[in-house]
Amino acid sequence: MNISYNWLKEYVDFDLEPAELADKLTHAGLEAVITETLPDYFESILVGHVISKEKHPDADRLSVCMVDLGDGEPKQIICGAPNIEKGQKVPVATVGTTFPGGMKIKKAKLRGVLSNGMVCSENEMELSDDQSGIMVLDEASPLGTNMKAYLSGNDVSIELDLTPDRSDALGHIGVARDLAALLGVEMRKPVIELEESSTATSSLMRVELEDPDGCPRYAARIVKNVKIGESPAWMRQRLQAAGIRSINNVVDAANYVLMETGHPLHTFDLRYIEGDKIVVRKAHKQEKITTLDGKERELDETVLLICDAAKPVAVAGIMGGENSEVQADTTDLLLESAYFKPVVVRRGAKKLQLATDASHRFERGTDPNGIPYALDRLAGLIVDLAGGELTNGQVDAYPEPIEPLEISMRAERCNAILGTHITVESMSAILNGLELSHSEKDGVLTVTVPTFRPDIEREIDLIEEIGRIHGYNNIPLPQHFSIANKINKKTPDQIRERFIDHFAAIGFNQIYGNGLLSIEEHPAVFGDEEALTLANPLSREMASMRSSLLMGMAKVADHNINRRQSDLKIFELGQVSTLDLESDTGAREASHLGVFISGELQPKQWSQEAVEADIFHMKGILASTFEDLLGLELTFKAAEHELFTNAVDVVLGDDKIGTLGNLKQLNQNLKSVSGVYAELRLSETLGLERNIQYQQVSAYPAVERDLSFMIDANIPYEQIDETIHKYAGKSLIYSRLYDIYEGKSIASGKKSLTFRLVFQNQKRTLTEKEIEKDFRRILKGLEDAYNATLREAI
Amino acid sequence: MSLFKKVDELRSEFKQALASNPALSDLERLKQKYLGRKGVINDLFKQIKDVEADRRGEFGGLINQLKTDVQDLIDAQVRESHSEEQASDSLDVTLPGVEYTRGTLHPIESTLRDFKRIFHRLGFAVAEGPEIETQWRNFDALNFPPEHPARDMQDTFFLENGSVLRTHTSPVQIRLMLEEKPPIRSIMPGRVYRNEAIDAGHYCLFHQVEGLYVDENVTMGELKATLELFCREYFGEAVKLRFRPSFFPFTEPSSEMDVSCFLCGGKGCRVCKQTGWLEIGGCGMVDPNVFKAVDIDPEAYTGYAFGMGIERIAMMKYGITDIRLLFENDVRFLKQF
Repeated sequence: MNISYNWLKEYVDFDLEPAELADKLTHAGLEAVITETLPDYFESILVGHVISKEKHPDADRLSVCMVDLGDGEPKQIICGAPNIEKGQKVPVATVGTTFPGGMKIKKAKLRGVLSNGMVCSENEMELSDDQSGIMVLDEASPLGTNMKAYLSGNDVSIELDLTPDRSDALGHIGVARDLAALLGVEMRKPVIELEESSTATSSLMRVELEDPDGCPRYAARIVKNVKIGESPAWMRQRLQAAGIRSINNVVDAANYVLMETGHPLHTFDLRYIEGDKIVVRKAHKQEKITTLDGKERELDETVLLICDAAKPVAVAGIMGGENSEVQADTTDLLLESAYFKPVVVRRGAKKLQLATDASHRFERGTDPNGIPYALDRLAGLIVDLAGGELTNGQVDAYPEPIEPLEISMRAERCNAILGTHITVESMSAILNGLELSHSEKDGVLTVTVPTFRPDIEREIDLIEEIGRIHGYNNIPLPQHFSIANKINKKTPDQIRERFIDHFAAIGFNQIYGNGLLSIEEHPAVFGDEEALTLANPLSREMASMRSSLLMGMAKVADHNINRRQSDLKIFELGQVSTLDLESDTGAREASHLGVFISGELQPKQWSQEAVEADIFHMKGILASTFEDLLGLELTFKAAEHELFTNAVDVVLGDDKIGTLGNLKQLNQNLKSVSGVYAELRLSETLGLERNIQYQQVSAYPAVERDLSFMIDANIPYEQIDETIHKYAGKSLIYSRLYDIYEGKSIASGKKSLTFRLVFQNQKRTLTEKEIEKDFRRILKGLEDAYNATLREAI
Repeated sequence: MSLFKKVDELRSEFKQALASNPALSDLERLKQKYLGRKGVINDLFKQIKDVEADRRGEFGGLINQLKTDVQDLIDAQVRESHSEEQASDSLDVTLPGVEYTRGTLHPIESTLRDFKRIFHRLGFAVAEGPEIETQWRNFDALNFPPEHPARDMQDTFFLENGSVLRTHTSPVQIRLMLEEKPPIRSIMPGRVYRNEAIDAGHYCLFHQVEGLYVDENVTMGELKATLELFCREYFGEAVKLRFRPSFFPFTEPSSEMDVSCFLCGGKGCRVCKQTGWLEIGGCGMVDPNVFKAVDIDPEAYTGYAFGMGIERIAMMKYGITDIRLLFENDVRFLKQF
């Protein structure tokens, strides 16, 4: 909402520059920014004086005018408007002005005569739809003033970004009330004096509330014989600063009172109200109304309607009907000021998908007891601007008056919450400033909360008001503060952080993927994923929650590979979710680790060869990570998987926790992606703690032996390794596959393997004999199991 | 015993060869001769079968020992030669060092870590919760009345079953307060979702760190002091903090918090849109209705809560002008952090 700096001064005296005012309001919770409501092109449109007007020699409809712009050098301007006359003050778009449509004013010859600018109509300046002729300005307008200054009346527009609880501040009076409280001064509301005819309004109009729940109060007035016309400059300037376009004097008056009191009002053309009555009722299913914006809308029972004896004439609290709209020839008006329940207007606005200035306010709560004031204010303003006679009194249907709440606030409690030492007197002064009348006894302030503050319902709400006006920045900072002597339940994030740190330390880039994917993008990494879909997605591409990290990872890989960044080492540790009907959210969430490598892990350098990414690197990285971080041994089992070639299951204890392999193409859009991917479920792992118990380092020497043997080429390493350990005995503390050789000197169908074996004993030096015995036993085991034959030990 | 003798001979022969201080290339040849596939020691292994059965073990041990010794001596000599070479001028020490590729933490991660570290020092535990929540924990328990405009403050993604993608990490506060009795002093980092059009300043998801302290006699002054301490630690001693009244359903009183712009020091610049201030989060005193929802007596306990957006602060800190860069994960971007 925009407010006007000048307008605010009507209700409260203050001596603040616009920027200071904005700052003051911001610190009271009404976030304020100075804003421009007039576009820049108004700056080069100047007030000019038509000194002379001649007929164009070659064009009947054009006039050649000399226009003084106040710079002492009158300009020759060609004008085609019928209403231009010598002696007028007019807006002149000078050379260089660019209008929003792109039209740029240049020096140009029109039928052979030079024109140095353009005299503008309201339509051309986008001030109104009036294109009947040029805009004629007030005679007293100062020459050469730019139209920005002229139109704003040197006002400043301030944009307020209000929180939804502050419905009271949706009008100048509400803002002025806060400002008065902040400044410690009095606020004044316009005093209304009305002249009424002897005809009672109630003799001309009845109001029937069929739904007093949805509409607890409906008041109306009648004005006869008004003359619809333009609003005066002061009104137009005010509305301009408030960001509202001028329509005509009656509609402008209603908008003016809206912006003044915050109360939405509506004006009907009385001649279209049939049966001399207003009925407020729920709409029927499929009932239709054409609203002021010209759209036919289908309704249902959630929408509240204002009707006459025969038909709906407005959607309550949202928008009027086209059938009863005030027009240029309207003479008699029915004025509406009503209170609708916030939730009713909210449902109606949601149903119609229509948000208006009125619905915005009704949804947030207007003042049911401010209705007569707003209605009288509107009536008085209309009579002032458009003439007419006001009939006697309001018709006011208000079967069950809404009473102000009475709430107590303990001064001590207030200070205990805020951490302040505000005196009872100061609190009382703040409440007075906010028009919260109250009494005080023994440090308890009993407050009657006016109905214009529906946000104040409890003691704590009053405490906030005290804090707000006292100023949050005036709340002192304690020099010490307490820390609870308790260990709170915590999420085990240390292991997760160590995983992340570990991968970063070995050269991986951590990614944060988008968790929203299209419903087709859920490759079955684990096979049991059932993805969760959104009821109201932002787009088809982001219509479901990721059930694994793979698709997000592949998209990141694709992005990078397409930008010639194909040597990738990236990982993500993030949440995935799948359907789980057992859970109260319908979802099960888990922490997954996704790792992707592609291209070269290490580039070729002068001192070393390039290292290419393959599944064995992935296995090694994962195994060493678990070993280092948790002291746990991962095992790997060859597997089949539709997403991978050379798939390998990752096993921890007896549980498969993940899969790795060479990624196959996931879809047509991800053709570029090739590399090794691994995804692991970490939820249980992250809860573990590594239990380290020191092991004494043996004081006796370790002995290395290399074991080299020939074996059938098709026997997998895994089995050979198992056999070695089965026969090794306790002294074998380490073994490593050192070399694999297949080729020339090896019989076909055979391979040669060399293991480096390390033997050591905790308590003594191993003898040559003991080692030889172990060595032979291993060899014998391999011979018996696979017909392995010893090669020369290298 | 010729084979046993041969072992001794080979050993002395090798020592002699080594004593002549061979060059690196000679050492390589020696290695081939003694240790190679067709080397002399391998020959000995092949002859094990010729040794009497009861002495084979002894012989095997002997040649293994020889092999180990030869290997050790050659290695030692190679090392020595290398260090001599390095000591000599012939080594071009200006050759580049071996490159090790460096890994990186994502900027959201490192910002989160900074937050956790500071709040940890201030006595806050870390609590987390699921990203998919019930409407009750995300809204109702947090004093968002049904059909209230406050629900529009956070554009919400719904699942088909009515659950929501949490719009803030506040549901973790609800979980915590239901699970344990005060005092509670925790921060709640995590990913949250908003159904907003994506542009340079907005993304459909982002990360928050919220904090909650519930105990007897917790005041708004203490909330301010805690956040000020955090900001001084994170943004530097010179930072100034200001609090502006605001509205959040789950706190009353509620406040926005701004820090003085660290780029211009509060004078006004492009980053702070000439205001001198940067908005970093919201805070306030836990609303009594929230306490009632989780069965904590609001007369006995008071509490404060605060929340900050990680991306927003990371972007300010690192000068990132488009939030989408954080989720695009271009490695040329990632490697800068």
